[in-house]
Amino acid sequence: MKRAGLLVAAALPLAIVWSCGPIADVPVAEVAKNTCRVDSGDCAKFGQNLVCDPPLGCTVDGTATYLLAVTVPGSSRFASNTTFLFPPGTQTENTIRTGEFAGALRLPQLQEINGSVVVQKALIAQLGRPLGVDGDVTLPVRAVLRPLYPFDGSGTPVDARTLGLPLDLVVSEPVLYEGQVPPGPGNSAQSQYRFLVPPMRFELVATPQGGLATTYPPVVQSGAVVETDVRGTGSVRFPTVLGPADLSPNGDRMATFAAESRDLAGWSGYLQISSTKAVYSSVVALSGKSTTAVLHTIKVEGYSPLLEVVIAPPPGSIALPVLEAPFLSPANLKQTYPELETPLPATGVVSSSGFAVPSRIDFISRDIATAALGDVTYLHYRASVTTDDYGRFATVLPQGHYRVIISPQGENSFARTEAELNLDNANPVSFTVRDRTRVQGCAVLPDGRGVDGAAVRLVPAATLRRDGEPEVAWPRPSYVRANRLGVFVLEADPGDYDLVVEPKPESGFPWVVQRFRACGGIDGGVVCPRSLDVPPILVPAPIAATFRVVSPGSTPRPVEQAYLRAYAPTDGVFVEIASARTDARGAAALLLAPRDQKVGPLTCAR
Amino acid sequence: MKLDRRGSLGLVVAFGCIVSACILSSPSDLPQLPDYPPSIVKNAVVPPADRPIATFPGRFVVPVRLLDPTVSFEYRAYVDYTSVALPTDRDQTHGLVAFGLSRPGESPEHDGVRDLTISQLPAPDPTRCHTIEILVAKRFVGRGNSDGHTPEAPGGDSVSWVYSPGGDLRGCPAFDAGTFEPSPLTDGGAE
Repeated sequence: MKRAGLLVAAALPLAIVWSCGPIADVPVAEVAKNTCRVDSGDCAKFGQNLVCDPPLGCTVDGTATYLLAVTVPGSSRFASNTTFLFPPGTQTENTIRTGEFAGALRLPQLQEINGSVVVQKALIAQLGRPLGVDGDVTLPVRAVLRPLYPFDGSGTPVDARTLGLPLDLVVSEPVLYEGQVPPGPGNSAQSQYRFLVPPMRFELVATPQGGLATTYPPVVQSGAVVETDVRGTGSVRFPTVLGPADLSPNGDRMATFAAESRDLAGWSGYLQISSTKAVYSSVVALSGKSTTAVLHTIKVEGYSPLLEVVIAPPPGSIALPVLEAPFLSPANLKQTYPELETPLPATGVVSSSGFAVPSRIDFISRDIATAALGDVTYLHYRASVTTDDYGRFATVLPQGHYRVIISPQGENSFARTEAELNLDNANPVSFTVRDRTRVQGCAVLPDGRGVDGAAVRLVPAATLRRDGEPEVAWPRPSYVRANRLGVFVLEADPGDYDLVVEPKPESGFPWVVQRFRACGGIDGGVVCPRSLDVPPILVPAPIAATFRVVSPGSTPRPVEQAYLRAYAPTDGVFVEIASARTDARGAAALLLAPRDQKVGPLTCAR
Repeated sequence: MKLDRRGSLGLVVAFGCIVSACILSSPSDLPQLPDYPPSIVKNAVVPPADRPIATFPGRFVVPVRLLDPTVSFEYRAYVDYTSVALPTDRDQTHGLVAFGLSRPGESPEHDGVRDLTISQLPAPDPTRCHTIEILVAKRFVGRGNSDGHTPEAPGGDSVSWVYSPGGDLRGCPAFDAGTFEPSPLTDGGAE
């Protein structure tokens, strides 16, 4: 028995150690993660030619074409709340070659644009509107910078926002320099604009304020801002001093605005840029049945946007369309506002299967009926109305053909539905809304497992903005989180979507984005099935793009909490495919889905 | 086989030692953390909230700082919130356009900050100015109506944007349009 006692005594320490070992975490549900051990063959289950790259996991040794957007947080001393864009292939041009930050992405210096619009005494006399000062005068202007793409000016630049890029207008109201001498020319203390912008390409429109726009034209210019060695004015040369020679010749812009029978008191006439609708000329206040005036514009070398001539009713008018006609004849323009057919009440009800559907209804004209010219497409009218609880609506519209977009209100399964209206009588109309399409599918890994908990989003397709589709007509976004097997069910409106599968961040797998349309056309009609199965979506091992973002200057510093986004060029637009945030070292990894994945047939787990 | 008294005593002592050793080696209970509200890192939201937005973004990214990264929190998004429902607001939503629950592991996290991404907001009427507001809290009072705008204890946080289609601020609430005073030229650098 002594032996037994000794045995127990010997086992005692071991038992204590064993019984008090750390309690291992036992997750309730394990998310499928992209992990591997080097030289272990772990990556074979995700595909061929993968490399194990801890801690990122199995990655594809390849390259991807994408545009990189870097948004600097407000906490940064450098370029706070500014977004920098690096088009495909340009990231390497900004890479630091040597030193402590070798391989890091250096953000470019912000460029300062600081200017004013000064009109010379001679021009004031010519335009005939004194400004209270005997001499040159600085106009108060509201200046707007519109980002253009491509940034280097190659090709025909277009509004970068229409391509899905995360850019916005940059607006500068007149800056007040109290007790200071304005840094530019001129003599007004309230007449400066100032921007700090990344190197990019912009269109600048500086519009006179304080009611001066009826005489003095806006300054419109387009040019590229390039990085200089130090912060300073880029290569854009904005006109700062306007003299008589800067105006376009009067003969080019003599215009007569007329109406067949209507008194145009309170209306206005001007030129606008077709693509952006920015006002391009002085704005003529109309009166009577005919007004002849000079549409003053600023002569800008090398910039000749397509223009439209506009006759606009007073703000707040009802059932009066705006005239927007192509500006084809620069000399001796005469534009006549046609006589309209009598506006008619548009009344009716929105329903589905006999039940009222309270909705918002948007009417967008396709053409407007005139008394003498028939239906014309250069008159445009939009109106929106909300139904009552019984789906009833009533408004007044000019006669014509309308695109009608019905957006059911509240939580229900009714779809945003489009209809046509030919308004040539006062009979009530009835609109029927469809049901949303139930979309079901799954996201699977190459090894057949479902992508547990992936966020699945239907977002309006990036091509919609480029194509000029009104936002009220876009299909509404939808969102759901996939179950443990990667299976998801969503509801969709008719229209074009980008379907985004976003695995949980901890999984180490990339987003997958693909085009999606719930409705297809058959025999000239549109068929929207009540239910639709999406083929299984493969979520592959990623291409890892790692970055370290630093500020410019002689002493670069990591940019912490910068928000990085990657955009893939697809169908002429840019679609967001990945995002990440930098850490304290300024480092982040973007996980990108390779485009050409070869896998066998996929099935959804059940 | 029979154990004598000493053997039995040895086993009892051994068992007692094991239990007591475990008890002695287990850490004492940590003090319970105070119930902090989630707080929004406002200077890192995307798009930046310090200026009007002229183009409705496809995604709003709201970094939320959490004392305990394992907690879930609720979020709500409003467009033109009104405390009293307007006559046109037949569903009494008071402007609520999205709401949900953010769980740990579902969004990118770093240094106690979780990126809340909201991409399902429908674009509002593009003909006038709007205020977009996103609130976060552990819980909200009520469900989805005006009460849903009020966080329960210990409170919450919010961030808002002015959406001015076309960049024209007419009709918008009073807002600092972002004009700025001249600042001395400085070298680059991040804090």
